[in-house]
Amino acid sequence: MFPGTVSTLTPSPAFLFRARSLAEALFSSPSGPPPADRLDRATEAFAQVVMHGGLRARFLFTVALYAIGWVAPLLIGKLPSAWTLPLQDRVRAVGAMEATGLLAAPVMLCKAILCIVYYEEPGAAEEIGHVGVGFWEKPPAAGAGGEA
Amino acid sequence: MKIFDGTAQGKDVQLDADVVVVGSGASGAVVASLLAEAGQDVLVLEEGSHVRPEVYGALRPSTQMRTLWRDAGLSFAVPLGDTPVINVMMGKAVGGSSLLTGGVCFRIPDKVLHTWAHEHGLPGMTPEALEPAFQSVEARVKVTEVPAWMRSPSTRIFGEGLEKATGHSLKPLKRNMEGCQGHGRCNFGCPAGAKLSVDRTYLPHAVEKGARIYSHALVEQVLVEGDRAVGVRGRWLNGPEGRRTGRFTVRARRVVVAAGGYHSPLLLLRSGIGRASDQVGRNLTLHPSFRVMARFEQPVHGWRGAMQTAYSDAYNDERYQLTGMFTPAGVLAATMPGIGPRHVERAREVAHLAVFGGLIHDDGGGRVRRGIGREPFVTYRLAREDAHAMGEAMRTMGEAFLAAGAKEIFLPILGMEGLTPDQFRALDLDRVPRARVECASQHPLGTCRMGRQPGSSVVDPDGECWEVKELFLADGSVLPTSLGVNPQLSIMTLATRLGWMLRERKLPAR
Repeated sequence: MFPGTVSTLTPSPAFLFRARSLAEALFSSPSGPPPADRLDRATEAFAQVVMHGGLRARFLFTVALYAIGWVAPLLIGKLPSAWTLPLQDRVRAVGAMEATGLLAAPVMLCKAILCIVYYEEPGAAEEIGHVGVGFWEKPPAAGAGGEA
Repeated sequence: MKIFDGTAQGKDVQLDADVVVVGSGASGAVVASLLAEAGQDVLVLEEGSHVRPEVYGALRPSTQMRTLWRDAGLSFAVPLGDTPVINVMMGKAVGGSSLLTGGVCFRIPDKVLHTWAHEHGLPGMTPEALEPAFQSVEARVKVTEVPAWMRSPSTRIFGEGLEKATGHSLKPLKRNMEGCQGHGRCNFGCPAGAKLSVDRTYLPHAVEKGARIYSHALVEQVLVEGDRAVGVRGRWLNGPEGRRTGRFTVRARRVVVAAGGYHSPLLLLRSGIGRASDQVGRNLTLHPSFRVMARFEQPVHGWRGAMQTAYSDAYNDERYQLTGMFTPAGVLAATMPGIGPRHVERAREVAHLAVFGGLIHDDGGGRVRRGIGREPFVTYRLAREDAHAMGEAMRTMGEAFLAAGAKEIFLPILGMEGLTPDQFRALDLDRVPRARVECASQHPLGTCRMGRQPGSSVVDPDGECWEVKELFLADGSVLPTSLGVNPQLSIMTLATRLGWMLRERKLPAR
C-alpha cells in the first residue's frame, strides 16, 4: 500500500464484521458468496476509505451500517439483525431496503464505496466484463489531429 | 519539484515571506507562480500531502480517494427542504482539485460575464478585458480541443441519439492535456500523466523561481494587525489522518487565500473576518451534477476513450448543460440496482451501459458555516427552477438514449429500478422528490463573492477583502454567481488577473 495512505485509526471489530457481512450479501452470486480473500480485501479497503473520511464520514457509515442491520430485516418480517441472518435472507432484506426510496440511502452509501473497492480487484472487474481500460477503441491514424 | 514536508517540521516554526499563499490548487498555484516570477518571496502552504504524478497515477482509485481527496471524497452538503444529499468532491493535496478534474476547460460564458459586469457592476469583466489572461492560462496548461476519435463509444451513442431526438449536435470539449491515453479515470489522478494539472505546470515553475511550498500545513487563522493582514498561523499535520503536531507562524506583507469554496470562507470565519457584512460563507453554488445511464443490447465498452470529450450547450438557457462522462467499473456497478445475485447479474451489464452527465447552473442556495472539528458545516437548498431543470435534463438525456436504441434507462433516483422505454416516457419527473436524486458536485463556488459594495460582498473587484487590507482571495469562492460550466479555467484566469495586478502593486512595508 502507498505509504501514508494506511490509517492508524482502527475500525472496531463490529464495524468490520458488519461491512464484511454486507459485502458478502452484495456480491454473492447464485453459486454462493465471493472468494473470502476478495471479501477480506474489499472490507479492509472499505474501512480504510471510511477511516480517512473524517469524523463525520466515520459517524455516517457507522450509523448507515447500524441502520441497515436493524431496518432491513424488518422489511422481510425477520428479527433481530441483518448480520445474524443466513446469507439468502440477508440478501433479501438488504435488497428490500434498497428498493424503498429514501430508506435506501444507507444502503446506497455503503454500496457505492464497497463497489469501488471490490471491482478494483482485476479478477472482479473482469467478471463483469470490464477489460481493456486504457486503449482507444479506434486508434487514431498517424498524424491525425482532428476527426478520424 | 522540491516540497517541504510539514510532517518533518515537528517543532514550532516562524517563517517570513513577502507573500503567503494558502492553498496550492488551481488558483493558489497560478498566483504563487506569477508572483515568484516577479521576484517576490512567495511561500505556499498546503494542508494535503505531496504525491508525485507517477505515484498517484499508479494508485488504485480507492487509494487515490484517501490520498488526494478531502475526506476521502466523502464530504456532503446537508440538504434543506426537497434537496438531494450532494456529495461534494474536493482535492486535498499539492495541486488541489486540479488533480481530480476531468480536465474540462471552459472560458467564462459571455452571458455570465454580462451579468457580472452589468448586474454586479464589476469592472474588467468582459471577454475582451479577460482575453490576455485566458490566453496565458490556455497556453500554459495546453488547453486543446478533444478530437472526435477520442470520444468513447458511450459518448458517440449519446451524440447520435441527441441529434435524432432533438436535432442538437454534441460539441467538442477542450481539456488541459497532452498525450491522453484514454484511461477514462481523469478524476482519480491521470495514470498517464497526461492531464496538465498545476502540480505539473504552475507549481514547478513557482519553485524554480524561488517559491517555497510546504505540504501538511494547515492554516487556522489569518493574522491581522490594525486593518491589515500580516500573516497566518497554523499547525503542521502528521500525514495520514492529519493530526495536528507543531505550530507555525508565517509573517508576510501580503496574504492570498486560495483554499477553495469551502475552506476559504471557513478560514475567514475562524479569523473573525466578515462579521460586518455577514456575507462570508453565503451564496454557495455547487453545480449539482448527476448522470443518466442506458443499457443497450450490444456491448458499448464505454470506458474505451477519454472520460470527458463532448458536451451540449443547447439547454444552457434552461439552466442545465449536458456533458460527456464515464466512470470506473466499480462506480458504474454501484449505480446498478440489486443486492446479491441480482446485483451481480446487473453488474455484468456494465459493458452494455452508456452514460451521460447533466450539470445544473444553480442559484446560490448554500451556506458554509463553522462546524465541529476541522471541516465546515455546509447546507444547501435547491431552488425551485433548479429542481425543475434537473428533471428536464434527465428527460432530455433519457430521450436521447432511447432515440439511440436503448433498451432500459437508469435514472439517478434512489430506489428506482431501470425503466423500459414506455415506463420512462410515462414517468412524471416533476413529481419525483428531488431528495431522492443521487447528486454530486465538484464545483463549490461563490462563498466569498466579489462585489462593489461591502454590505453585499466579501472582496472588492480586485479580490481584496473589504474588511482587511492586504488580504486577497483568489479561488472560486470569489465568483459572484455560478458559471453553468466547469470552472477550472475561469478560476485560473481570474487568479492570473489577480497575480498580474499584485505583481504591479507595491508591497507594504513590514
